[in-house]
Amino acid sequence: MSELDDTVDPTSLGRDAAIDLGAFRANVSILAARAVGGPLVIDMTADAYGHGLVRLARVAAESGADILSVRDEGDARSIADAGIGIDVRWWHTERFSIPPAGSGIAAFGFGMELTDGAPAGVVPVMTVSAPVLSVKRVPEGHGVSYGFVYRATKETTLALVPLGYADGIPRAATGSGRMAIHGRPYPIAGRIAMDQVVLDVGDAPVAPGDRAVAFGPGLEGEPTAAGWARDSGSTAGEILARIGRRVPRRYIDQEAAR
Amino acid sequence: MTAPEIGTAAAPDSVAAIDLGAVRHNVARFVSLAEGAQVMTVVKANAYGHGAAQVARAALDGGATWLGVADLSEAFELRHAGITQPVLAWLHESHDNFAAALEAGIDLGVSDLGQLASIAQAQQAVGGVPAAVHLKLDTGLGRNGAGESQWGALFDDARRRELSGQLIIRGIFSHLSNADDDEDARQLERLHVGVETARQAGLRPRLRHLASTAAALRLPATRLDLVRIGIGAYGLSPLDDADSADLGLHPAMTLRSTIVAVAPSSDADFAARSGIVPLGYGDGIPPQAAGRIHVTGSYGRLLVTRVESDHLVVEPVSAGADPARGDIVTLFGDPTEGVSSADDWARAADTINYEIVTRLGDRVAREYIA
Repeated sequence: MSELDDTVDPTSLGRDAAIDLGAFRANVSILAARAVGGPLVIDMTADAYGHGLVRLARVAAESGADILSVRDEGDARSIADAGIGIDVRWWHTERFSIPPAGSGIAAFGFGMELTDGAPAGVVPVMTVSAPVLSVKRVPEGHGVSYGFVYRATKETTLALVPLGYADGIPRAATGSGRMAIHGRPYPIAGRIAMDQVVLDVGDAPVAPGDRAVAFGPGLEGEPTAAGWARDSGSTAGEILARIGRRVPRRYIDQEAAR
Repeated sequence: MTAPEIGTAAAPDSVAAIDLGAVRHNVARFVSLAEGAQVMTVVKANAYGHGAAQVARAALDGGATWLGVADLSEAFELRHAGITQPVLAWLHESHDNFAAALEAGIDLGVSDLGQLASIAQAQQAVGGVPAAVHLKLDTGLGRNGAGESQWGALFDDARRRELSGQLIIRGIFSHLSNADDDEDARQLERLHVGVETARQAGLRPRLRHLASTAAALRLPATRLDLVRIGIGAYGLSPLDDADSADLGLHPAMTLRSTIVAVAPSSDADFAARSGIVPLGYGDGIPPQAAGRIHVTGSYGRLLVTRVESDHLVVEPVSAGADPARGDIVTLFGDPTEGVSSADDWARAADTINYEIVTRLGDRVAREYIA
């Protein structure tokens, strides 16, 4: 098994999806304790909702999951090839009905009812962030991004963050999405673009290199995937699953680090 | 719920067919429209989901002389694919890997003094020819690009570094808000002011560029020395009041999949069967479009009723058109062929065609039609 990663991959503008294997392990353990009288099925479709199928399949198998539901035979083969011994089901598996219901995405920290209702104790596993690339002071009335749907209501500082809809930040959250810097959430100013967003950080002393957190566990002021789902008419599962290829996955273990 | 019939196919079959002939056609159309201005084809974000290297080659065949990307990793991907033509990258950290960029012959879009200093330092470390830089000016969009109050200092510093052989200013550029014609005209005027100020500082930028697809189509004065064509190269329209056909463009991407299972429909109006298509929101299909968009099979249209993580559900819109296992369905493509378009999906999901094609995931195979 490959090792955990301490540092952010610098080759993709510092975009980062940190996957906390300790949080996932704890979530699966909680679900296993609740799953009395039946097998615990974990939904691992959509590349384990963007978290990385094989890495999480191993942790799930070690933490009390009985069955993993996956997309197809290719997914099943990836798990078997990695030497992970667990029962796996997919579309063409005999008697496996649609949808592979029951598991929801609680193992990833969110409830079955899309934006809320996760079992007590489970926490979100993925944190997506990127560094502020530049900051700019602009006067009152300055328009920002396409169509100038946003104009600064007073003199303010704009911070450019290289996460856009190509990276999975939903364009539909224009006007409501936020990202946090130093534990404080700031509104996205103007339209969410393909490669970037602009945050209106007011008079806060934000500097290039500061990390902007799009979403995470929500314990330190940052938004959650459920919050983005509410802001974009989506679901937490979709927010997680659509994080794109330009955001390298990095595996950490907060529990082991404690 | 009743268990569905189980398909016999070994694997689900979903393919995004990319028509490289359409890319060549679209790019050639902009080459002709630009009347002497060069065409840069923008292939950032994996060529808006189409595949960067393949689209880049087709675009060059279609007459583009430049390729544009956002960040250096995208530029390196083109070089690794063996593409040697000019590439401009414009989104950087202040201490990005500029040395590797210079060794790979990447032109750099630069927004501030810090980046200029980093690039100059990298050039001295690497040696060789001066770094080729395009200075990016913020003429009103409020994103990256130097604010107008910084222009004087930026131009003076750039000229000083030119004279010491560290870099050359090959271009000056900006990006439009497309808010309205007046705003765009104001931004064009600011860019002209910027270029004039740069000239007074001793700079001689050969390439002034501002227009992307929308302005290249609608505002001839913005075409200047080069136009940056993204969405138009993929055959899609950036305009609200004109579609691909109106603009003489051919959509390059056709997304097809297969009915892998059928089940009794939830709709009791007629004894229909619903079909399962193995593409879901994990592949980039927007669930917001459910109930508002059709896919097309050989027997007619099917309504998308639900989009889940790894599959979607379709139902017939009329009796006798039940989906059958193994049927091929087209999710979107060229609407002149009677299928839904990326524009239709964008309307159904309350977004823009750019997002529909760009978010299509890596697990959907791309198949290239030469």
